[in-house]
Amino acid sequence: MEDFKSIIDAHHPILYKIGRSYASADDFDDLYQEMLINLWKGLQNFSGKSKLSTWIYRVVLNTALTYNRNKKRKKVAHVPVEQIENIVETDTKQHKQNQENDIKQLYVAIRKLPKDDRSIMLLYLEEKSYDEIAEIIGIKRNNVAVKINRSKKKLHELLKENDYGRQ
Amino acid sequence: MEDNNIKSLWKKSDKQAGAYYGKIEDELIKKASKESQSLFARIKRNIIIELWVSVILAIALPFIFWKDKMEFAIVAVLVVALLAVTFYYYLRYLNQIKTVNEPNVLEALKIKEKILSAYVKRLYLLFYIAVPVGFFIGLAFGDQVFVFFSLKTLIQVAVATPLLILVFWLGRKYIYALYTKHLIHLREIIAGVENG
Repeated sequence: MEDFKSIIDAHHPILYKIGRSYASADDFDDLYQEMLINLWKGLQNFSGKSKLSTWIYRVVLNTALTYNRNKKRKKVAHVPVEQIENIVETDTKQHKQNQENDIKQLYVAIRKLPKDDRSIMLLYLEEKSYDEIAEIIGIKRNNVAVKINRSKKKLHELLKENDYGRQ
Repeated sequence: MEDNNIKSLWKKSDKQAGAYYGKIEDELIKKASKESQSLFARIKRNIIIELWVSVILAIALPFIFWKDKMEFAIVAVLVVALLAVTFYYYLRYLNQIKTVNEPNVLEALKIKEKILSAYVKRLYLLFYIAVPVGFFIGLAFGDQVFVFFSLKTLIQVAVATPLLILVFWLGRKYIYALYTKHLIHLREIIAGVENG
């Protein structure tokens, strides 16, 4: 079994992106930590029947879907999510600043989607195949395309409402 | 808004993911380093206090048997031997911790955990040997004629056994409070850094 840290090193963007799609800034650290804990616990029993990344998506999505914001943990590290944009780019040109705002708006819109639609949309944006999406979510492959189209439509409407992409 | 633009933005948020992950790692490592330093400082302080208490007890204990020169001598030799062994383990532990020279914080913590774990095991071993030996010496020297299966001895054993159990219980609590508790905390710190 691979070292846990090296697995997280390779897959941490999944935790971040799904975490930001399901949790507000206040809850993000807690949710991220819970994802890590669930991955750690689950990895010891990972049988290897599915791809590792598929398994990770499943665990992380389940954690996000069942996250209980009342179950606060002692924070190991508090890194305000809004400040991340500042950490990434300190000398940004205007178009890069707009991009940072657009990413933020995208997450805001995704968070407004119903939870089921959010899962589908996240996996679609991660460019997972229909088979993988069906396996991760636990739905029939035939239903994936319909659900993706529905989620995309809702997302576009939400982005319009947020005045996204002022181009 | 085009799908391709949304997907492109989605990919670009990987950079933010990386920045967050990097920051969490740095903060975790700093916190673990600080916590472990204060933990080892506390253990060192406990050891130094124990050293002084051991010396005082080692001087005082044989005098309980001062009426009989032979008993005094035997107890004094055993106490000095026990003190010498504990001194050796204390000093060896302090020296091992001091000479850990690993630049990687996590690896250094793991090495120190092994050292502390071995030290705690030796403490328990010493304790499990010293207490019964002390018990039998107390029984033997407490009676002018020690006959193992005499009624008087058996009654003494029956009365002293709960005391022995109490001493074991208190001793284990003592070692837990001074050392095992910190060892468990150190393992939690290591797990916290490893698991993010």
